[in-house]
Amino acid sequence: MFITQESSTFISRFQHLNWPIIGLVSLLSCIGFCLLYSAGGGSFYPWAQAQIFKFLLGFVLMIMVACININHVMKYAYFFYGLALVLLILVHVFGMIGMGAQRWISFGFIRLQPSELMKISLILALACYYHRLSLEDVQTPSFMIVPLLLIFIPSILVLKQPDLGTTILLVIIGISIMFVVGVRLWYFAAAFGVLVVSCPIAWGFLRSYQKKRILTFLNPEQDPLGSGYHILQSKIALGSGGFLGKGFLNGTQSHLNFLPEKQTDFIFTMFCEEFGLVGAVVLLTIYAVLIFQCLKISMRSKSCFGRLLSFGMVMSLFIYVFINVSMVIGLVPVVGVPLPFVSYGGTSLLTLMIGFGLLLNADVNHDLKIPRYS
Amino acid sequence: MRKHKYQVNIQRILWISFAQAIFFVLIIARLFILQVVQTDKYASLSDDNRIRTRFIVSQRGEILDRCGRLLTKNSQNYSAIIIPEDIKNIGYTLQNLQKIMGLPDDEIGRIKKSIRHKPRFSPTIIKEDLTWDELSNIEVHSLDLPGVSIEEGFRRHYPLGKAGAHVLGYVASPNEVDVQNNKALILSGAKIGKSGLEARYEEELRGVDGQKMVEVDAYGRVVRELKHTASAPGKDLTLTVDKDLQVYVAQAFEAQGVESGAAVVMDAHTGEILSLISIPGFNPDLFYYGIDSKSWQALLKDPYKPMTNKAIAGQYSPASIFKIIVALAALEAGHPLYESHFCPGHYQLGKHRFHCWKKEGHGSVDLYQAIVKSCDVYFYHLARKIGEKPIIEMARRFGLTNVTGIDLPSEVTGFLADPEWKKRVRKESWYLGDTILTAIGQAYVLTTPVQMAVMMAQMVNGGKKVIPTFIKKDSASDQKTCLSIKEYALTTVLKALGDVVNAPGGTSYASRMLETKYTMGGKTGTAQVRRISMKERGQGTRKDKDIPWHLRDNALFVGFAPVHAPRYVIALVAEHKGFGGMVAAPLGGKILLKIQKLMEEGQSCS
Repeated sequence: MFITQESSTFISRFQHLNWPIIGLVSLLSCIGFCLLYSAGGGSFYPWAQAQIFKFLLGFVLMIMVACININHVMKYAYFFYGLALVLLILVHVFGMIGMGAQRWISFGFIRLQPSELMKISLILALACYYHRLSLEDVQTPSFMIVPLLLIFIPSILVLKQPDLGTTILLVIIGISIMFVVGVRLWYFAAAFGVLVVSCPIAWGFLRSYQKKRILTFLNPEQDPLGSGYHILQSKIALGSGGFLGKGFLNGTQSHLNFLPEKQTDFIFTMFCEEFGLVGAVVLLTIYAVLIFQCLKISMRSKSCFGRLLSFGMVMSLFIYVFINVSMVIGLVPVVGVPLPFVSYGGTSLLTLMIGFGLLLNADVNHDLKIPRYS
Repeated sequence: MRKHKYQVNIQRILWISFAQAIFFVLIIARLFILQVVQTDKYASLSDDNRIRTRFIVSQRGEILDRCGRLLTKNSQNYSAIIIPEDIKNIGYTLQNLQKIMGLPDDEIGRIKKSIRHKPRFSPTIIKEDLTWDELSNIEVHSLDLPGVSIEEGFRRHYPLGKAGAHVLGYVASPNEVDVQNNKALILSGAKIGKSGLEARYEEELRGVDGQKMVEVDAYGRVVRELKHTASAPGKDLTLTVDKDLQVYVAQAFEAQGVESGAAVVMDAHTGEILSLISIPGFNPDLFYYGIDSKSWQALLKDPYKPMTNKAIAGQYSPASIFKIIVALAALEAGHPLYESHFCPGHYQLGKHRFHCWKKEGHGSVDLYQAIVKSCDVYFYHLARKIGEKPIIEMARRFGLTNVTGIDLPSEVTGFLADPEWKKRVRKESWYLGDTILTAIGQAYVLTTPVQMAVMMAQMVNGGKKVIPTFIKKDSASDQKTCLSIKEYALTTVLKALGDVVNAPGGTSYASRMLETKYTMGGKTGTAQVRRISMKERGQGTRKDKDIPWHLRDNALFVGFAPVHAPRYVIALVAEHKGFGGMVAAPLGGKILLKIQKLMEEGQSCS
């Protein structure tokens, strides 16, 4: 019995939550707690206990978001987008310096990261926009202007912060939504061509540390103690882990601090050092199952809004996993993307769980037909 | 037929899922390469990352005196070291070091230089012998000092100080030459013996350095020990030296006001050295942590040459002491003991006049009296009669032309000219005057104090060869070579040497032992270090204080005790202290009295 009525209650929506997905998310988070316990040198302090607390907070938020009326979500989609955009501009103007980049906006008791808010808001805004268009409209060039502006205005602001990881995420999510909704294929081919041509020009706009990261990615052995250190140490940790790994709490690379950022960006490395290829395949399989489940939600959504919303969320999950894992195994440059649900960090965890709340919401309402304008 | 929006969406989502699946496969393939195919390479890189080999410096053997009293003292200490391999930013560490330890700029410069010149894995010493305050300061700030660690080590102290400096030598960090000879030295940071017995018995004393393999973290801090090969401590070295006597001799020289000199006290039968000293000494403790250049320059420029061991490397004219050799040569050559010669105070040879030390002359003396009274004229006469050959031959037999073989580094040989040498080097013929000057141990005769001691030992022990040593030898292996000198000659000269001290009229009668229980014999020497001109002689003898220190006569003494069963011999030089009988003989007497008392009271060990 699925929800088809707009008039359904909070309780009835709660009863239709997709518990397998909630279970997988919780499983990944628990793996994260164990790894943070290991990263702390066999201690809940300083990371694991903070992460557990934030997970519990995020869990409640996720369930609540999943159970709100999807019409309200769509109604406020542009509002959230506008709010996120204003905050992004504010952070650009008043933002305080954190980690050498302007990313935070401080409200005294809480520090908000508008770029995180933008990740969700962009999906909402694009889903909302395309929900109201017919396929013919979608394939009309003039209707591409708004989505492109929706994608690139925040992307450029985030890039100026500078936060290359989030920028890439925003652009890929936005473009992939445009792809899914049915924008003609030759536009993508043309855009790709333009991208290849403009690469040398874009190079000039990159910060020196970003250039350095790309260069050392291409040849990490060139500077083993400098910028290439991260990649090299990460590969050493992974490789020395072998097939079965060194065992829980026994990762020498991570415990002896050769591995930088082992609790955040390089947590997958630590995991592979301790649990080997077997562990890595198991973890990646959990992600694959989760992504597959989410894609199934997207495909059975009757409304375009629900379809694009859930697709956007699962796509960002995939991009997170793919960039993070490819980065630590040396397939892509180090851009600073966390491993979803596992890496330490409250902001990204909360963003993800709110995003999954929206995804669950779309699942609850997958049979609901949403009018174009409400 | 136009597709529905829903169908397009589903189709495209399926394309993307397919692409995602490919990416997952790609990632797993990459992980397979890293973790299975290349795992050995990365495993060894991982071990290189975290495993370090550290050396454990062995504890150096102690040096003991003949009674087992410590002449060196090892104490545990702590040093701060830096290992460049463990640091990414050396400048940062050094900057913090300077702040935390308050090191002066030139110290930081020295550390930087050392880091540059050594391999990255070898430690450079920041500061040795840390105080508790410094130690805790470093420990507290260890997070700000990546690459810096504390090492437990030993510090070596020499309780005898200056008195033992020339016997024991000192240890210090190896210099570039030492390192070239033994590459392992640079790794361990060990100290090595640089002079004296520390250098001579380096191998025995040093022991074998240990090794430990430790696991370090990314900041070079030791996390745990993986493997430990213990170091083997060096062997202790028991000397024949008597600590009390060594100190006593140094004090006696000082009490006598000798600025520069040397003494060797030896067992006449075994060659065991009971005391060896060179004045002035130096403080061997100065070198352990590297002497500062100011102190080093001061030592080098000191006119009394504290860094030279004069007992083995000081060359002195033996002067009248050489008369022992001449007398033995004459008696062996068959010269009658009681053949008299008249000494008017000088000896005329053609136009040249050779003087006796006693201006008014000794009157009629025979060989025996000539030794007792040290009559120069009689020996001029003797030399002229027997010629230079038997004299030089006798000196050779007593080892005066060779090194004695004492177990100290940098011993020099004496010098004795012969006609062949003079012709070859000076391109001159050998004149009778040369023979005459040789007979009183001047001119072309140079000996070291240890040579004189050995000569004396062989003289009083019945003509058996003696090699001076600091290490007790097994008496079983004591096969003494005989110098085959006529016993009659030896006993006669020995008796005369006893009378030099004990008969009224003997040159050292004033230094005789007043307690009848103890006796000694000996011979003084007064060596001119310049030629006395006729003019000066006319003006009469100048007082010593009127002559610059370095031109004053050297005072020498060789002695033995007791007279009737000689066991101990001494040779000593007091540089530029004037007449031998005034300074050297009393000094020798005091020392020979002390050694007899020490041995008799059982305070020393046989």
